[in-house]
Amino acid sequence: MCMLSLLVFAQVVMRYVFQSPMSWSDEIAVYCMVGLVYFGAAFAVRERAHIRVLAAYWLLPKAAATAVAVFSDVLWFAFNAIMVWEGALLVASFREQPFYSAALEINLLWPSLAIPVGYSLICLRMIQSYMSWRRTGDSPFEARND
Amino acid sequence: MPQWVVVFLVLFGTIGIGVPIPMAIGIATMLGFVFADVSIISLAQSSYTALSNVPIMAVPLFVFAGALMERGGLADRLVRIAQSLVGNYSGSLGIVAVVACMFFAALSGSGPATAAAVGAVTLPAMARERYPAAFGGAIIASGGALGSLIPPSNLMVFYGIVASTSIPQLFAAGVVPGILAGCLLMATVWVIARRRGYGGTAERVSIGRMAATAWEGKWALLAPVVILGGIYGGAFTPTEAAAVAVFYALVTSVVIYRELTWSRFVESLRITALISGAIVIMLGPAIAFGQLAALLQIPEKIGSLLGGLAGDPLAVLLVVTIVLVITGCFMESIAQIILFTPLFLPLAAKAGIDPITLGVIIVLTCEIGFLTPPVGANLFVAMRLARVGLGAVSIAVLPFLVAYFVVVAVVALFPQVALWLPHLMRASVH
Repeated sequence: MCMLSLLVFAQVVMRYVFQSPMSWSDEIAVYCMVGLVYFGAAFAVRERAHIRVLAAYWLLPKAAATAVAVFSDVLWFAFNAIMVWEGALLVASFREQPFYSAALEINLLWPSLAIPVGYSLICLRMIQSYMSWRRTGDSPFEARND
Repeated sequence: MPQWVVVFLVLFGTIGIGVPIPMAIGIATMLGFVFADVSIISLAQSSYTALSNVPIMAVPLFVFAGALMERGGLADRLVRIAQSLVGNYSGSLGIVAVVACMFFAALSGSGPATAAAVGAVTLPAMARERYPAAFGGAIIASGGALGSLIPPSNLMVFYGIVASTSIPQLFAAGVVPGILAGCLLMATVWVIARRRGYGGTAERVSIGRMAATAWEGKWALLAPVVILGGIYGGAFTPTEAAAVAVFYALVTSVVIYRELTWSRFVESLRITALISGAIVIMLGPAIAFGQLAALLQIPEKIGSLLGGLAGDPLAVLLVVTIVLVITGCFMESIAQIILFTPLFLPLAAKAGIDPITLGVIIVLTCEIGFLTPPVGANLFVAMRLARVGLGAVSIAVLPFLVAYFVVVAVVALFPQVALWLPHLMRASVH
């Protein structure tokens, strides 16, 4: 993850060091950025950094609050699952009708893989946080204290 | 019930029960696509295409640069310079904090990051001078919000992308309202401090000391010159400027100040990854939502709700302000911008409002959102740093909110305040 963000910066910084505005560096930077965002999203599940409105969770009594929050996670999970599927369809469509990028002539299949892979990782992280909730009682809805 | 109302109910319903905002937008958009008989694959498509553009890279880069500057000693230098400029008045430390926020805002694109950077340095000093913690926290929270108004600004990058408006011009439009807001905040600090008799124990203004601290902090002072000068001098685009800012922050904090340790560096990377994953991801579903809004003609429908008022720019801006201030209590600012901009933009265009003016108004009202509970990023930062409760800071921040509302009113009534500088720039280019 850190590697990815490093790469983004390295790329753009490199351009200045060498003073050559090459179109391929922009393109690689864009791919890094797409990767950074989707891997970052999975990382953010672990760190509980996703932006959600937890007013209902704070206001309701404990049992109801947990029920509502779990329901919201079920919706979230379902959405991720659909995105994995649709993302896979998108990748498949690039396989059938290749679409090549301007500078590097890469099939867009590869960078767009970030979507199904990223959303799968988000799903995995969610399952992980629920498992640790069962094991250690560390609720995924409370902010982490670290 | 009309379909677009159902889409909105699902949107606010899912957000309300705690689905993370990017995914809530995605769920509502999916439903809308089913209604409109559009394949959901286009949601996956925009999840990729929305992120694969160069301007958006400015956001993680500015976040990273801000995180580095906060940890690498640039923030400290700026506070010291602000101290040497202010001198001995009632509430001088509070005024120092606001001035430091204005300086740091010219380096950082984010409101909460500005509050965190300046707050970490000035709040302990305020506590020593026996400022009530809530008052100090309120100063930091409201001063930090300037981070989004004074260029560079992440909120403006998002607005510029969603509204396809020139980002450098938006940046320029934020300068005068930003300075105005800063002055009003300082005035508010002064009045409150004077009435309650908070200390003026700072040293007197001396040219020598001013020059000494400015010299010591020259690298920190030079940063905005390089970043903003580069953008307006035409040397680089906002994205490239952000990359330069990262580079600059690394060099100054590692080589010159030697305050950036490896663990601080990793911490900055971690913050950047988290913010990218939690916030930038929102652009995908949000762009799809914008397409859906156009497809279902939602802006037209909202316009017809407004009836005859839709042609009056002030009425439209008033509606924009009210909607954003209310939703700002519950939503993150960037979420607000990318969700509401596609809805408001056509309305504003119809009423003859310049998209740049609309951008400044939207950013200003989002800043008010930073400062209103229960969800207010700057309040959270301030309460953590000042060690006070959310309730106490929220009350203490009220007088500062008035200052922001005054700026909103000024820009709405006299759009020239915002447009003057970008127009000047445009004139000089041609």
